[in-house]
Amino acid sequence: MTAPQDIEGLLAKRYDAGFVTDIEQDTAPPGLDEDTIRFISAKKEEPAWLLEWRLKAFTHWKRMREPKWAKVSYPEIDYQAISYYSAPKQKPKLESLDEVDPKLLDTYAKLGIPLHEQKMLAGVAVDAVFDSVSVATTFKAKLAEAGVIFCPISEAVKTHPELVQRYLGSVVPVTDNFFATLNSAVFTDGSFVYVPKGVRCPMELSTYFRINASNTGQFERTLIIADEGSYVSYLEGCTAPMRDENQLHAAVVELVTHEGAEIKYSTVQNWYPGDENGKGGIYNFVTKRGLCEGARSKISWTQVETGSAITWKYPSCVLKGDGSVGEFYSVALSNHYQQADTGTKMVHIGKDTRSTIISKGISAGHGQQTYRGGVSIQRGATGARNYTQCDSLLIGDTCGAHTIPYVDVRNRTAQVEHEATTSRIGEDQLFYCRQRGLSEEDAVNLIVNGFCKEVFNELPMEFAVEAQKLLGISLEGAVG
Amino acid sequence: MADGLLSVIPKAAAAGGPGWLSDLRALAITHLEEQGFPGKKNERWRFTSVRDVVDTAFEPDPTTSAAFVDEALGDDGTWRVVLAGGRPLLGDAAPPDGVSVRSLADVLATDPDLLEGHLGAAVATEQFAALNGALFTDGVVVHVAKNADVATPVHLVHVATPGDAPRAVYPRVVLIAEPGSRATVVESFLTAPGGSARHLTNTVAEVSVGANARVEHVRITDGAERSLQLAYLGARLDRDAFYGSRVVALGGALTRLELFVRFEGPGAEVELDGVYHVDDGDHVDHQLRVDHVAGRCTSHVRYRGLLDGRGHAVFNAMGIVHRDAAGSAAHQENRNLLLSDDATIDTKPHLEIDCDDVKASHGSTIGALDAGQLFYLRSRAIPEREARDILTFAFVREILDRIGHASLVARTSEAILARLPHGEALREGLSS
Repeated sequence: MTAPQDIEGLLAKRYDAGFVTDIEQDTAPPGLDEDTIRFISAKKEEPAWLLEWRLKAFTHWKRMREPKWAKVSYPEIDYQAISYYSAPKQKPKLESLDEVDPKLLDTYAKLGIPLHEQKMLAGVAVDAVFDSVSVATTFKAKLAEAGVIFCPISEAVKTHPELVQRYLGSVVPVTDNFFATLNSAVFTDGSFVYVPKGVRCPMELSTYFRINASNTGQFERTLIIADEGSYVSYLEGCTAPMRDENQLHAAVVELVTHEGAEIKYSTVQNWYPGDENGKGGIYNFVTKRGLCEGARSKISWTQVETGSAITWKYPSCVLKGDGSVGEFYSVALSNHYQQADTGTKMVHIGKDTRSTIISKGISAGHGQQTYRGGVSIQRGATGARNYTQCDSLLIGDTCGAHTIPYVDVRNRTAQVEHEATTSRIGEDQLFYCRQRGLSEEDAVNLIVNGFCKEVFNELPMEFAVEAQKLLGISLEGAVG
Repeated sequence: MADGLLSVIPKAAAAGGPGWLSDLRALAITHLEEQGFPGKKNERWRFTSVRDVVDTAFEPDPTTSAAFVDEALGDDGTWRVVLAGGRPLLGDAAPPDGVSVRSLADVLATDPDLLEGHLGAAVATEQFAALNGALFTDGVVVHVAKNADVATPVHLVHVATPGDAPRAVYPRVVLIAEPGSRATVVESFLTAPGGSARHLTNTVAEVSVGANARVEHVRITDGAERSLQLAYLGARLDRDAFYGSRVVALGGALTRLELFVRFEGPGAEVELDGVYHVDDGDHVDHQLRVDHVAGRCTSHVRYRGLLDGRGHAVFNAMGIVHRDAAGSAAHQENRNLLLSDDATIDTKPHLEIDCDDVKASHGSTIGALDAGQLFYLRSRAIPEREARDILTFAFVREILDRIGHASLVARTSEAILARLPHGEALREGLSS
């Protein structure tokens, strides 16, 4: 076994993506009042109904109190100290990548996301969000041919107001929860996807988020609508530069599937987790929810969460349509002083609805990990079925793993199963790998990857590779 | 509100008794004053409302006899003490060898030192344990001598006698098993016939299991429609001790048990088994918590529920493995059978683990009877109604068998069968 001091040394691996790009920002002064919201709305040249919608949310938010029930601890957030708008200086409309600020492109290159390479290699259309404003959108033509709308939500507000107005806030109402309401009031940008009837989106859609400006909370708003019989796979990946002050990220993601449609939403999240003493790092307080509106529709969430100082999110499915399907596959890792309170909520409303939850939590260092999940089978959900499995792996004796599943059943035909285990890496497994000549680190990697395999299998191929690599880096040497 | 439960809480701790007891009561009163009674916002009370209870003005239960008990229970091979109106009716019959059973009031008056450290846990954490702490005047102390092996179960029969106005009792039970002893304690909760108003039984039982001691604790509640039960049971285990809790909760307007176990020495083991049945108008709530403070301890939680009619059951189990509790094993299982369209179950078996040398698991299932099994029985010419009852009974029988004593297994089995729609036929089949 490795000596404890070596382990600590290895655990202290620094964050590779920590650097700051120096681009002039058009930043709103810190503080939040109606004028800030009017400023954001004006900057975005928004229609009156959206400004009203934001103000309604803000009025409600002022009456709300920050929730405290999660098993995470952080210093009080001063919402008046945050700057709610930050955008790279407005440039003339861009026709191609050549016109994008080379510094920006350089940032992506450092992160290993060369846009033009991706264009050719991966066949992925990238809507890159640099802080709050989308600067480059590729593959638009090909998507337009299929009739798929994929653009920043600020653009969709102008080009497809009827769609945005109809669906915005239909899954996560403005009054839903403290952070979602705040987001509704001040959201700056995000992605908008609409897949028309019967269309299978010709490529995987992807957005890379990047938080850049210091002291800027990022409030993303994503809305994806899959019309009857359509299919879309959406990838979301994130990294952020090293920073000492905590940054708040309160995004809202809404998904809607109509009859027979399917949305597959994958996330690889590698935001700055804070340093080895727990200083700095991103607060990731996100509301993600999908509504299976139509019969036989399906929403699948897959997430790999290795970053953020605090992760607090529950991608959920409301299974309203008869025979609709919800899935949640998650790997969450907390090392150093990271805290994660994450899980999902499956609300079965329609008949013969099915849901599957597979959650894998890994804690190392002083990491604290909580799986919190809810399965609710309502009276009318005849023939509903749920299977939940959540496993936790503990590495080291200073971390914690907690499992809190809520099950609420009101229909006798329901079948609900929940299983959970918590253990450390089996010494016999480690020993077996070691006597086959693997180093301890490789052995741990192998075992951890095996532990997470069920989730990685659900990720699109490029993401699965990235996720495995991420996990390996995040865990380097974390052997107890 | 002025007439409710808060009004019966004294402003200051009652005088008399040892100093530590006064401190304890003062703490309970302060806690209640500060916290009030729990509402739905309280995580542990999310699915159980006590508003009705809290708003009711209960008067003390003046009953001093319960003649119906002998007839109701018959000769079940146990040594019985009946508690009526919250006070034990101790006769002349001597308890089994190796165990002393005395009234709590008596022990507090003559031998209070025996109770110090054993009485008074948890008054400041759970509101209804605090309520009992503020109000109890009597109860039972069961003291098992060192290395004694007591074969005959000691049976405490709590009798609720409803009157025309709401009544309440606040008995307290202290069970001390000295090192190396073995004993079985049974607590039955019965409701006397007559009386139309509701009856609240607010009990606290505190169990200390000494090193190497072995305690079986059976708890049977026959919930009547007027019965309100808010109980707290705290058990502490010393090194290499064993505590087996077998709970059978059969309905009741409100039956809630908070069962908290704490491992204080290494190598100890608990088994927490339970069966509950709810039907129209019943609300049964089990809140379990196992604290692995010391290492190398093992806990098994196995609860099964039958949900019929408009019944509502709540199950919440928390397994906590503390940082230094290396070598812990914590297992929880909760299985539920839904027998009607209107029954509700809220279950939350959860684990909080702060130590890596641990084996922990929990599982819960909720479902209806298996169609394949039903078909098999029907293909053997068993009518569907009976087949349903056979499978339903089999679902909980496995846990009932763990009670051990044949007379108690028979009594609880009968009670469950009596609650099944066609249990009569099955009962005849079993007894023949």
